[in-house]
Amino acid sequence: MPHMVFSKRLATTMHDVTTFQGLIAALEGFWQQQGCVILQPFDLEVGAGTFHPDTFLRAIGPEPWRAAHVQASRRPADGRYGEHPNRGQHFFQYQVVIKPSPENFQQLYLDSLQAIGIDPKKHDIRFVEDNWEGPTLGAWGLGWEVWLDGMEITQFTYFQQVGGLECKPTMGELAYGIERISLYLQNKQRTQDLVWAKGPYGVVTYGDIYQQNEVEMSKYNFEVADTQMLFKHFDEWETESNRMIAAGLPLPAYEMVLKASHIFNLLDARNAISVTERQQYILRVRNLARQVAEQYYASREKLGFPLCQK
Amino acid sequence: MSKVEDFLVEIGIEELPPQQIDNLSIAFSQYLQSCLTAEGIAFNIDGIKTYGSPRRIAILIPDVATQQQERLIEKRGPAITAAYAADGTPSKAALGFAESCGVDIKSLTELKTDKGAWLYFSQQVAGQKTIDLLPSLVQKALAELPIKKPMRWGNGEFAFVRPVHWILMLLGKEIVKANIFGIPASNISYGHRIHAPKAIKISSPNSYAKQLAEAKVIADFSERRAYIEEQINLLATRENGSAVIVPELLNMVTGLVEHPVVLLATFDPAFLRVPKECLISSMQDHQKCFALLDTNGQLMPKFILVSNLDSTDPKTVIHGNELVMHARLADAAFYYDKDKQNALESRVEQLKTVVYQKKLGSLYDKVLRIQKLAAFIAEKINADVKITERAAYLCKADLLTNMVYEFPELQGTMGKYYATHDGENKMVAEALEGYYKPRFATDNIPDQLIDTALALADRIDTLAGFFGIGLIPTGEKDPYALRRQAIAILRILVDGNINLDLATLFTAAYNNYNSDVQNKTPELISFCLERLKLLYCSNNSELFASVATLNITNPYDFVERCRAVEDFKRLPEAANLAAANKRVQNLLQKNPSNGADINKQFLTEPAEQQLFDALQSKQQEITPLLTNSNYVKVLQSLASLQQPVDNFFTHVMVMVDDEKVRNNRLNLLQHLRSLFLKIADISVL
Repeated sequence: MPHMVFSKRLATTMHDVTTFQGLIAALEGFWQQQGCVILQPFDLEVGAGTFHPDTFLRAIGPEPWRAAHVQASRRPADGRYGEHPNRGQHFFQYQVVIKPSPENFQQLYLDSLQAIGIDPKKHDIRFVEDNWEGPTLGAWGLGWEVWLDGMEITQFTYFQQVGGLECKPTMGELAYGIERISLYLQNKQRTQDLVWAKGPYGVVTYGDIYQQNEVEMSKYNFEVADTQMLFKHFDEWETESNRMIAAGLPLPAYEMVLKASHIFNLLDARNAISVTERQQYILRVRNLARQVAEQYYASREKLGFPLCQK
Repeated sequence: MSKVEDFLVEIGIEELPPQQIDNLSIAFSQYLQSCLTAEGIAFNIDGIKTYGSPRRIAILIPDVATQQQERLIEKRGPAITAAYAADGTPSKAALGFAESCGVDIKSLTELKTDKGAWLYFSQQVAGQKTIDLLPSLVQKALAELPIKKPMRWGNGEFAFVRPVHWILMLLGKEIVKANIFGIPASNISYGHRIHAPKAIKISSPNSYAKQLAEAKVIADFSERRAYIEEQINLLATRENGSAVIVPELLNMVTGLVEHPVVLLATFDPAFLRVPKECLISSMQDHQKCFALLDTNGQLMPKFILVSNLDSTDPKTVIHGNELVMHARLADAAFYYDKDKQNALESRVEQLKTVVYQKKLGSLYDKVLRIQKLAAFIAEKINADVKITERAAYLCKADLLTNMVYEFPELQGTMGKYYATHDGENKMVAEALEGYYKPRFATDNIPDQLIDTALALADRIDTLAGFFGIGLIPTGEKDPYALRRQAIAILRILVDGNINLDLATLFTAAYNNYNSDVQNKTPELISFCLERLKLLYCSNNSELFASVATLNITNPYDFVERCRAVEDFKRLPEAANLAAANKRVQNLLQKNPSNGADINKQFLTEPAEQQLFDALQSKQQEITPLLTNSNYVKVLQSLASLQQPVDNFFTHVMVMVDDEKVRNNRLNLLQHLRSLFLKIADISVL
């Protein structure tokens, strides 16, 4: 039953959530307490935490899973040359996945907000229908975007299908938009003004770290990227992924899918793909993702679904 | 006297899709009612209440009989011929049937119908307790719900709109023992997530709404919507403005809150440089907020939000929403500025990459077809052809702008703004928005001839194309909204007094297609005229037929004639003249006129001479009226023929033996008939 208990233990935190790094640490601490494995970000370009193999692949099959981690995310088309208050082509998500999704998942989420200093009696927190679909991953789920005083701060999803495979049990996923949450906690208007760290050597802002990157990467994504080279790379990674699938290596094959997917996003940002071709490219990536998913399932089955034995 | 109790069922759910709540609770109520009726359980249909909020759907059915009615169980067995052998011994089939009914074969009776006779079993069965039946009935009703995308959660054993958390089922004060979605039913509900998180024991179905209200939930969807609307209007009035309240948005917002708290917020007036439609779309589509207009209809730098919380610090909620709004409006401004960097004209070529319809080519192909057809129409209706062609060339270019990609409802409107910015002719710019009219059933039609030409060309091309490749609406199915297009065409032609023939328009449209697209002009004409009948003839078949029989395919002309007929029908002479026309029609059908001129010499009877004179003078009288298509006046004029016509039929016998006289009289009647047929066939009235 959805009891609303705000325990003092959760509300008080030893982390300074008024810095970006403190916020991450607080979330890390909270989900660690909930029994999540604290993972590290994936080391390839991805559009969201969902692409992390420990989300995408772990959603497949019967094995239980609980994990949390930061994930750097790249969405080339969202670049604004560092001028937009809260939109950029590179940002961070805090990713939490629990499978099977716990009965009190919403409550845990609200508790986590409490733990980072967001009081639900003060802030208008809303679960607004948002059905997530990852066309390149052959994945979809139902859930919400969570609103904090009108700002979307988290994507909350119950996965229904991944790589074309039904998710049973269902993985529940939280993707916190931590820049936006930080804007709140720090009462700032621009992401670039966020305090990342505050210590004996002074303040380092988000902009100190990423402003130049936003400007240059926006320019690259929108104006400079060599589309002919990218088209070529796309074909190559697709071929390589197919070769890995043929070799029975789903994990490497999946990395190639991610590379192809990111190149597709770059080409899209450059407006290099016509509307008609666009669907074809999406289908090509999805086709790979589907085969990877099937092969990964088979490989886990062959191992006897080891995490089910624990 | 059977006992009754109120029944309450509440399904507690994680936040529902806001636009489905109302439909779901209504459907749940209807299915539940039909389940009860099917089981012979009486209830008070008038007192039924349906509740729906983000975290619950609930139904209260008052005065439910606690006992199911006695029922007659009937079973039909094998045919008598197959039931007994010649010596009267029962067959295996007959014995089997008796066994399945749990009785001896001797207690079975015969059912005789005109089709034969069968073994028959019937038994009166006592009704069961309603409380024992309710669990399966509720389950059945839930399974019937029209859920677009059911989802699974947890271990995935169950599927529903969203994960289910509690089931409340009360018959009177008694808990119905049920287990639904793996959850035992109870008398426990939950109020507002933040304001009243503790379990609430619902004491009786009747106190449900009141107890929830105490727990900060307005459970009734309509009541909540009305309350929100009232609060928004109050706040708007206080600001000397008026709120832009779109019904879909109001419904959406009602589906997002259980405890509505309406708040006023502001935004940076610097954004007012962006077209107001963009700002309003941004507020509505993304933030579910309401825009405010001042007394001059100008956008105010303020907006109204509906929160779900009595915040301990409302300023925080307002401030937060303002930050988001700032970012959203910054997006709109970004799109606007970015879009303006490329002229609309430069986007037209890119339409080649956008598929309009696989067999009908790209949007660019469509633009070229619209351009030709619009020019053709412009010439016919005296619109400036050059300006029409220019507008047609640009009319789909805004579909490729960032703003329209983000807010599809701004198509046309952005075309207008960007064309203006590009320095296009003002009439071109206006047409880019104007030709989308009518956008909805009660919308105005275009008020400029250029817009009209473009509006017709776009829609005629669409209908011709889709019909031409066999995508014709059938029954309820009309995935391309072709009926709406046809209605728009009719409204533009008829209400706009545009005198154009559908045959001409569709033929011209097909000239722009290649031979892969079949010419379906006749089908399209009847498709359009069917809509015309509904729209302009109040679906009156006789009225419609009176004009349709003349093969009129010009909608404006068609409706003008219908109006004249309707006007005529109100005249005292109408009934007799309609009857006379019918009589003449029957007579001429059997004895066709030879088409010769009427010979005055053979007009022997005074009554026929009088009719002839009357027809001659009417012929003269209506000729100028017909030139001006003044159909009303024509029929009014012809109405005075009633007396001579009636007189003719009273005193003159048509089918006389003298062939010359007979033919002359038939020709006289043909003449009479042809006068009416210049407007309509009133014989069908």
